[in-house]
Amino acid sequence: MSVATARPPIAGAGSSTSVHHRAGPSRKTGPPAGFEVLSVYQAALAADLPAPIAAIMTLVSLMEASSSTTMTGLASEVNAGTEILQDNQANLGVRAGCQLWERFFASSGGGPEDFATVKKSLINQGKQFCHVTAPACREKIATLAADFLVDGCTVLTHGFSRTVILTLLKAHKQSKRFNVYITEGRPSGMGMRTHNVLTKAGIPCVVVLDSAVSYVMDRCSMVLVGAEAVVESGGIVSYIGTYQLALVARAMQKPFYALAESYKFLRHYPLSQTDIPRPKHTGIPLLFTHDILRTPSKPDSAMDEAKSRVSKDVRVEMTEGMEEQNPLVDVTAPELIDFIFTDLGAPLSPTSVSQYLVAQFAS
Amino acid sequence: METAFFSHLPNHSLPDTAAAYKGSKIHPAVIQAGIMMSSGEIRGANARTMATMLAFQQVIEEYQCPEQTVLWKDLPNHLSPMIAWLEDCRPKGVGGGNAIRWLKGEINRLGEVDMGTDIEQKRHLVGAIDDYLTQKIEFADQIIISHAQEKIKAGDTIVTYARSSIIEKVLLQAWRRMKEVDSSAEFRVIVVDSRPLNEGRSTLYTLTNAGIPCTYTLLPLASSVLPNANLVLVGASALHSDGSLYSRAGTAVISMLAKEYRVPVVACVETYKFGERVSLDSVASNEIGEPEQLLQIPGGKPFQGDFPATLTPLNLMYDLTPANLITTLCTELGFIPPSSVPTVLGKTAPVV
Repeated sequence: MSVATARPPIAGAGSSTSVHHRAGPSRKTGPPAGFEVLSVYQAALAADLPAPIAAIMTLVSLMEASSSTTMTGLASEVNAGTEILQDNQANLGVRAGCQLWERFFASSGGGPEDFATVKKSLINQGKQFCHVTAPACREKIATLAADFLVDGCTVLTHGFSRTVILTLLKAHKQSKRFNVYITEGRPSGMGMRTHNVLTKAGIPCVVVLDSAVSYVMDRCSMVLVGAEAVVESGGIVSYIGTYQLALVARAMQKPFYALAESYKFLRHYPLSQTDIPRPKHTGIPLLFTHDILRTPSKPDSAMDEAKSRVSKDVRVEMTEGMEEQNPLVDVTAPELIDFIFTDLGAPLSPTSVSQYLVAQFAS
Repeated sequence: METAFFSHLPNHSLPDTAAAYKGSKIHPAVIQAGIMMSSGEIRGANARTMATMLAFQQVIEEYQCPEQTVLWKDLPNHLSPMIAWLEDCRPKGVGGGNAIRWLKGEINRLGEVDMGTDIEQKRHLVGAIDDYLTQKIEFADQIIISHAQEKIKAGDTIVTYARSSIIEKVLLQAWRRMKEVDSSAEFRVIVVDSRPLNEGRSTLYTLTNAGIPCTYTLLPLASSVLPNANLVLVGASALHSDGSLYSRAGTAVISMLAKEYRVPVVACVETYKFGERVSLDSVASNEIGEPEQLLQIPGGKPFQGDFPATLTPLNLMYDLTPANLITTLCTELGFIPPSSVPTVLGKTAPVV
């Protein structure tokens, strides 16, 4: 936290226990009674909102549910909600969203308006941001990035990203002919979902193994990935395997483009792969496919054949301990990224992104 | 000693104290600060800036404005021989320069805003100096410490070079914090040092006193300790607007090795040390230390006599680390990449 954006001190915020048991006796330190932060967040996610927006939506709903009568009371409730989100959600976008809302919240108030007016306008602006501004961001990025796809090119993308899909669909609508390679994106295997969407739209695409990235890279003209968060170094935190993709792209001199909405900008400077904020309660199991034979990209007949070959006493799945050691995201260094497409205008170099971030946070 | 190549650099020589006293233009507090900086008793950009400003504070307190003029016009003239004298003792550096420029601006402002009588104006300046030092150095340091210590994790090996007051504080605070959470958690520090100043010994003394496990080695062996390091922490004398780091000679070597072994380099620096200059190498601006220090063999006889005609000892005090060798700067604004220094200086408008 910088001096400018320092969080106002909240009584009892230091003790994470009181924050966590939100139905506990000390009401002051928790979100409004009866308001389930995590289930509201999950509902927002289920409505297909990206993580940062879902987090902001949650905080806006929390403010609506609040019965506080002072700015300080409201701020401490919002902070408690933020902590619950950050302590329980691994997605870094959640942090980015919470940081954004925190700055927005801090910049409001102090005016002559009374509390009710300020609160109402905050809520309205929050909703406006989530429902109007945020979806427009993705649209803007897609328009920008689609121009980079030329007729006859081949795109490699990683797993599942809504912004990447939107970009590809947009370019397709412009009657550009291109091929797409999609990595499987283990452990979630969401590359299959990307494949479904693109195939339905009539874009020729193939799903390849995550381990086949260097095999197909030669045939690709560019790499297009989404991001969970953009960090202060100008690098991106993204779905596991993105860093590897960027390294291979650099080795084979292919341009590597990242797409990220500006609400994914995160105030954090990772020094290494392990230097990413982690939730306190990692109750989220890493869903590696336990049965390697249930590979979604293999046809049934091949599966049966493989099944019969594996002997019963050989362990073929990861232990829980191994799964815990496996990360869901990695950090892609800014040196490996050619451009980051954001809703801020022309494609930015990672250096410009970090300059923008510093200017934002330093003021 | 004199080669044309380095003749533009300020030479280290003891100032003429007697003349300074006799001229009576220089306040004794300033003379004292100058001598202490010159002799190395006060070392480090922060300590020197604070000493300079505190001396000026005393000057301002005792200053009497002549009848026929006004304070904001006369005080700068009163101060300028003292500033020159301090510069003679030891070049003031970017941080010190920024502080003095700020002070001059503050005095100038007295001409624009009415602050009342001379006494009130002086009181205002004295208070402003206090605020400047607190904001730009003390508070900044506290924030930097709290940021930097987050990057030190249990089990880490931290490499540091020579001595930096802020790095010492970061390590001490990180140690205290780690022990609070888990009394068995530890990190290790490797203090890399170099002749002729051997400032790292002071760091070593401070850290070992606090119970931090330390290793002490000299610069020639840095390449054998860096492969096992997790983090390199260095301080700074100044930071140029292209993001290059001006720091104790040897810092560039450490950073190069760190890059080679993929160890992140974090430079802790207060933003008042950011300068608008761009410098391409360590020769364009530097300081020359006493050549005798180089030739003085530890434990040997004191070096005496003239240098042979063919011998040119060169004792540069600082070197320049290019921006691409520094992973991040830890400032009071948070972590920023070296490429964002111009943004902080406000020289370039944000790109969007």
